[in-house]
Amino acid sequence: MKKILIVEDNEMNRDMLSRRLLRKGYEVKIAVDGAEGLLFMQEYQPDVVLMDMGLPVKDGWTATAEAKADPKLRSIPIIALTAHALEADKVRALEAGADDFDTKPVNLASLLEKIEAF
Amino acid sequence: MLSYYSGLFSAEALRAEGIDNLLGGGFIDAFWWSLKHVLDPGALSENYGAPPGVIIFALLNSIMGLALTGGLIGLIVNSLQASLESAKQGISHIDEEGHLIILGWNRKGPSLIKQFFSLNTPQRVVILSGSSPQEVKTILKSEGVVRRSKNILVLTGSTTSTAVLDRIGVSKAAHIIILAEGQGSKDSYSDVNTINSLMIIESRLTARRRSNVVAEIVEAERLGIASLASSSSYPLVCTSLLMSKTMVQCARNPGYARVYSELFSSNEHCFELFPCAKLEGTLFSDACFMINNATVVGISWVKLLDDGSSKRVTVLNPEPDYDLAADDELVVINQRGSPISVGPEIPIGYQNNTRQLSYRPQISNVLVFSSNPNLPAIINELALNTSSKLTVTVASKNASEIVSMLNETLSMTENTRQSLAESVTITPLEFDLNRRWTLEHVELNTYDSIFVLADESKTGVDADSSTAMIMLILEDVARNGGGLPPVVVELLDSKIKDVLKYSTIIDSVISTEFVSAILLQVAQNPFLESIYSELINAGGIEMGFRKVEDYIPIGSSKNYSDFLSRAFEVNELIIGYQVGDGPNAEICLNPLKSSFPSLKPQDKLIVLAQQLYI
Repeated sequence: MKKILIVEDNEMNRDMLSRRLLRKGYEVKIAVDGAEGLLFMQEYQPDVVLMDMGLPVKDGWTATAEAKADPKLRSIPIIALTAHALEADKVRALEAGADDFDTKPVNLASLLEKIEAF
Repeated sequence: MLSYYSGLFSAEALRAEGIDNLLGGGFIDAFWWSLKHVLDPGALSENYGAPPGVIIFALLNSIMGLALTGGLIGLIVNSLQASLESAKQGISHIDEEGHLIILGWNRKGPSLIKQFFSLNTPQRVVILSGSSPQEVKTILKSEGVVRRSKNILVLTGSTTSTAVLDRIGVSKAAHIIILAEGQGSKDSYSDVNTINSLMIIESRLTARRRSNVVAEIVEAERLGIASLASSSSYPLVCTSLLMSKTMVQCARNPGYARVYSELFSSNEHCFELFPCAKLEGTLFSDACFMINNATVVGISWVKLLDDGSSKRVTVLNPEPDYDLAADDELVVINQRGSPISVGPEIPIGYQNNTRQLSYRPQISNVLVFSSNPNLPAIINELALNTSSKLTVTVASKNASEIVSMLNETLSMTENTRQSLAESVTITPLEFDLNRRWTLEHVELNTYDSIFVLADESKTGVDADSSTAMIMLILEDVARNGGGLPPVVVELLDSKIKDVLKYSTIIDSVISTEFVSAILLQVAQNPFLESIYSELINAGGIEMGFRKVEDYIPIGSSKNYSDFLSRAFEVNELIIGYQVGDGPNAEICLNPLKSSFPSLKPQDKLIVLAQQLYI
């Protein structure tokens, strides 16, 4: 089963998403900010990263751009998670190098399709 | 024995009623006669007719008896007094179990105790603080906490002494609430004592016996240390964060204070956990319909951590398509003490995420009257809730001084995106209650919101009286100059609300009652901490008001399931409604689903919404 790294600062959001993914049989690792996300990407080599954009320390756009600039990390697919109504955030995420995006609150069926596509 | 030689058993003496020689008139009869006089002074009168020598000895015996009895009574009274004094000072052992301990004392104390007694629990309350017991008792009496004063034991002593804490039975208490000792001004509170107490309590409680402990931390920057001190085992309620977030929420959503007060401080409703093993596999949205007499607002479960310990996780307003697990529990708003009933599954129809209702009240220009320790946190919270640059005007007698201190504080603070100093501009407005003209050139309606804070730092001036004066001036200025924006007022005493009845204040938060209600509820149900913090945090879940027509077009069917289905489409949950508008509007939380009222266009729905991150 796929290893998924969730990078999310909101405790409630990450608890909920990780529980849902664990129950679907995925292996889940959690990072709470962009810098930790990059560190865990190197250590953990996940199959997919679910990256929130509004993160402390290092935001999701910067973390995504840095991951895509790093030869060791660039092949790891990143799905950007943005707030539903913030269209500009989605565009920025794709420009930063995210492979796909999904909206928060999460529609699990749609997110699972995107995870499985990688 | 001397009386024996004075003729105690002579024929003359034996005529007296109280002199007998039943055992031969020897030592035993003489001893019995003497003992009777020592123990019973009334026996003297029974010697009538005895020789004068015998009577003299009888009198001496009686006096000796009185002296002995008096001494004995004195000894008993003294030792009782000493025990009571030791108890008052916290130096005697309190043989109590399952009690509520309040460590520390401040203005929230009386409100905390009043609310505790209103729950009609038989538990006793032990208050240990640096204040004198007489002072605390006087305050309690003046606040009307007399009905169950016998259930309160007020002690003076150190809240950071292991020996004292042991003596008051911290390891056997049901709940421990640690209040920050202090009188209101910034430097008078001591988070240090609270943190020390937390460390001692943590070392005293065993895994087998864990009291519910909740601590009040005044300054947000000390939360991290306090959390370390308690090994993250206990909920911490940060006064400045709680008040700042609540006041900002009130400013963003006028009318909020009444919903908060109804939800957090009322004895009618409470948050409860409802085990739902039987609902395994049911969608969250369906479960919301199936629970008949309570309002489902979230889910909760116990999560196992990597280090082997466990932690309760609570998620409010989860996605409607979340399928419940066997170990999930539903978080519900329920009528206190009422059993929860589950009805049959009714498949409901809603289309997920068809449209996001995007309400983002923007507050970027605020006027703040007075200052207190909560002000930096209020500015921080406002900055978190606005996407544009924030301008804050501080109106106070020493505004320039306050602004330079605030700028210094903010330069050291970062929110999630940038340094606060970069995103916030603070300007002083010298304002004196005695010189209202300073406001005459200020266009109050150009501000998005006005805050009036309770300033306890001025000696001889009651904070609430100052607030009432400011409100009078504001209303007067506004009457002549174009109205007021939403005004959020912090009060310390609910009685002042009656004085302000005339006022058109939009929202008032009574900080002492609000914070003490949260402390008490979290002490009783620690899982509530995550609910409260999530509800008032920027980002995540927030409460909001929605126009009825945003949900269902006016004139179409408006039963509860129609509203709830619509709510799921926009990722919201209905928790109640408001009938009418303005100060006289009526709030109803946890409404009866079977008799949901016919709402009119001016009425509003109260919802839990996914607040957008900014």
